[in-house]
Amino acid sequence: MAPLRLWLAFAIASVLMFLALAISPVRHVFPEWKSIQKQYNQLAAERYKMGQDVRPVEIGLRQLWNPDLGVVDRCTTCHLGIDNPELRDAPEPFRAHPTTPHRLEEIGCTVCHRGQGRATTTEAAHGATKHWESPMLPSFYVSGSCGSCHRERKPPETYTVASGRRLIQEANCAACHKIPGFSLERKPGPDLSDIGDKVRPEWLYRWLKSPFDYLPESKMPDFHLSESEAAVLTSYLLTFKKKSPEEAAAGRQWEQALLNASDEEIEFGETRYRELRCVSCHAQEGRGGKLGPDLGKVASKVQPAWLVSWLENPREHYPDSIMPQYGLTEREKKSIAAYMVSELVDYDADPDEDDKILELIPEPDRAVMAEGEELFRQYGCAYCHALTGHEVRGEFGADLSEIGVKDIDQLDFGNTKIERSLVQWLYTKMKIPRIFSPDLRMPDYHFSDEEARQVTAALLSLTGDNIPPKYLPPSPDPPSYSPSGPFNRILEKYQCLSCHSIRGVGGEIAPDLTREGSMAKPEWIARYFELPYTLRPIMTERMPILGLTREEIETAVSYFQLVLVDDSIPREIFLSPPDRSMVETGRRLFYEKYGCQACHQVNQQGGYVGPPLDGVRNRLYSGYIYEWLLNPQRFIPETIDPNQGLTPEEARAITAFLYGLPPAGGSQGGSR
Amino acid sequence: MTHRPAPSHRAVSNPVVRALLAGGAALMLACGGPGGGGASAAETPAETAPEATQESAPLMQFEEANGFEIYQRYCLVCHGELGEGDGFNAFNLDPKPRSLVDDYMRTRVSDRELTEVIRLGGRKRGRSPLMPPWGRTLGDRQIRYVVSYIRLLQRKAQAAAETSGEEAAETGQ
Repeated sequence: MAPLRLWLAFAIASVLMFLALAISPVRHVFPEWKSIQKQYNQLAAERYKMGQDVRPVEIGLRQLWNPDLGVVDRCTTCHLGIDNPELRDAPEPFRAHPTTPHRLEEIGCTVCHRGQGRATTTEAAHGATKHWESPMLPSFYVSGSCGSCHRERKPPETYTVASGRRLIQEANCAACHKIPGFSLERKPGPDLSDIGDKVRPEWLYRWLKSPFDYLPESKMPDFHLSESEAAVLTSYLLTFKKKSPEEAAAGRQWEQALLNASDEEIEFGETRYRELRCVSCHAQEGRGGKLGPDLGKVASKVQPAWLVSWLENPREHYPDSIMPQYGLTEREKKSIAAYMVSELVDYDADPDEDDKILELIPEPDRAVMAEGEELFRQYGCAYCHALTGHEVRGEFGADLSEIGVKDIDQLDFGNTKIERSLVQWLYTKMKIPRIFSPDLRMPDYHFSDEEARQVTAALLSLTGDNIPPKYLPPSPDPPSYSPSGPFNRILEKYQCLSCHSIRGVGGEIAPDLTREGSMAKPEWIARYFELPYTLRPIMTERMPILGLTREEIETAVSYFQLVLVDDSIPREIFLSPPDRSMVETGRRLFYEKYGCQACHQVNQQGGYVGPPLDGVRNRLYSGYIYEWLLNPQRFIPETIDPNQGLTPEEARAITAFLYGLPPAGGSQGGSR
Repeated sequence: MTHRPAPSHRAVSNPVVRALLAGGAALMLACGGPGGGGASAAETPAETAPEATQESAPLMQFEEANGFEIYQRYCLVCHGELGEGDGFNAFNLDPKPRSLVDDYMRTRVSDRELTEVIRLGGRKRGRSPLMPPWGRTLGDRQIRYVVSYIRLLQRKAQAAAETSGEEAAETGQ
């Protein structure tokens, strides 16, 4: 035994321990936050001298407490300038919070920012410590939290989340994943049961292999198929046909006729193609509308005979198609198809490459069919495309209902060296979907960096049911509009609600028609159906010439006048023509006081943000013009026309001036 | 929500203090002072892996992103995509819309003045009535967002001018 050495060691250890115990409370006398508060008081003194309203604070811990939300946030202990707009330019941690729709006292900090609200050191509070599962979000992603309560598709004042949700919608993520708020009414991709009649083999191979090469705007993602996978799948899919051999033979004759069409026929087809404004929905080489697929290279894709029968009636092929059924004559259909197959060609395609591709595609023998079927199943193609024998049940991908609060221990980072955080994982997954494991099947959507961030923010908003119901904004009543009878047949045949909306149902790219009958005059509507001219030159999407029959036009116009009306809008406000002095007052208000010519053309002078106003009395009721002038947002909440705060007298005078404007050039045809 | 005084007995969350209380002095010495080493040992990302928060251009933060959306809808038609006063509707206007990104606007016009012009329009500020008042269409918050976005455009324009200036200097040499 060496008692002396042991005793000595024990004595030293005891003294050290005594010292340590004596020192440790001192840490509480000089905590980090106290020195930060003293710094703030210095800053406050300087700013106060400069004449700014910045007051010093009493030294002490501060906290925001909200038991409903489980918030105990001590962030304001250091973030002392958070609600003082004078400190927008101050250094952190004293900078004022950006303007938001919420008051800090209402909801605290960690509901949006995450992090450890109870902590009293910078590091622990920001959550950059081990075993704290929800560290603070990088500032860009904080707006993802808006979406945890605001669950509608396009929440106000949350551009980032709304953009992410739009991308989730456009990419049809909900076809494979369970995502609250997103459910698909129909499969997003076309039915493939007649794909063998529809497309060319070499196109199908190219498309499957890399859809973004054919169409940079492709809605189908890139599955990164190998050459042999693409070839087998092409061979398998091409066996799906609906046409009998006789019909197919007739189709080939057709094809010859279309390919041999005379120049006049092709020119006629091109003229009609332009006049019908196909480009409103179908871009060419990226220019034009986005509602339908780009047709710039369609001749390299579809078989000509199929094109003609598609123009005949799209819904005979796909009951869910949103394309209008145009009233075309036989000659129009054939010459439009002839124009498309001879002009809308992929001029970059290399014919030698086509031959090579055709050689790659195997005969659909039993082995190839089995392999093709397996590939179709393996990549979950049936979740977007209907195909005989491929019925689906449940979700193909992961349930994303609570992806925004996923524990990072449950995430597979594979052998990547990225930062171990949920944000970084989601973002990386959006950029390179299969990076974490070669066994993953998620396809590549070619998101840009910005898009990947927006989708990540939207995914972060999926936090399950952690918000008490009283904090959730009331969900708006679901829109209900279900017309019946002859007008409904018109709506279905011409797919009006693909672009227009009525009482909250329908598309967003063309004006809402809910009040059309109180707004536009019946004679004008009837003429517009026959020859829709351009009211708003800045829009890409123009009303196509649908070729309604006279009877259909009458039905639609009388439906507008009887049903699509708002009784609070008078039709005419002038019982007799307004006197000249009122018109003159209106003219001066229009040009000099309110500068309306900044956006509206009158007699070819002025801007063209809004519709030209020459001859507006032929188009609109005076009552509507008057009500619109008083408050444009009453009718279209998002209209660019600013509410100028006109008095009723001023609105009346401007209406009188506008009502006296003669039509431009004396005709209604206008610019096209 | 109410402010409550912080509880006097705070949970002992600091790992160093906890170690002190639980263990002996030797343990304290071994620990090597506050801070610990665990959290700072984040792995450096692989060079090829994309980064969620890095980009050459600054990311649009909350106010700027919302301002961008509003600017696109209401302002761009005249003031142009980059705020240079060259929107597609500009050539119809006399006087022309103001550039929002020149040095004067960046350095001499305060947030408050910008806000007032947007809110009240040109006429009430002794300028052209062609700039309408937006105060009845956009709320105070929305106008704040737009001002933030205009400031972002100004920073971008300044950065672009500096790089092109540098390039010019380089080619000049």
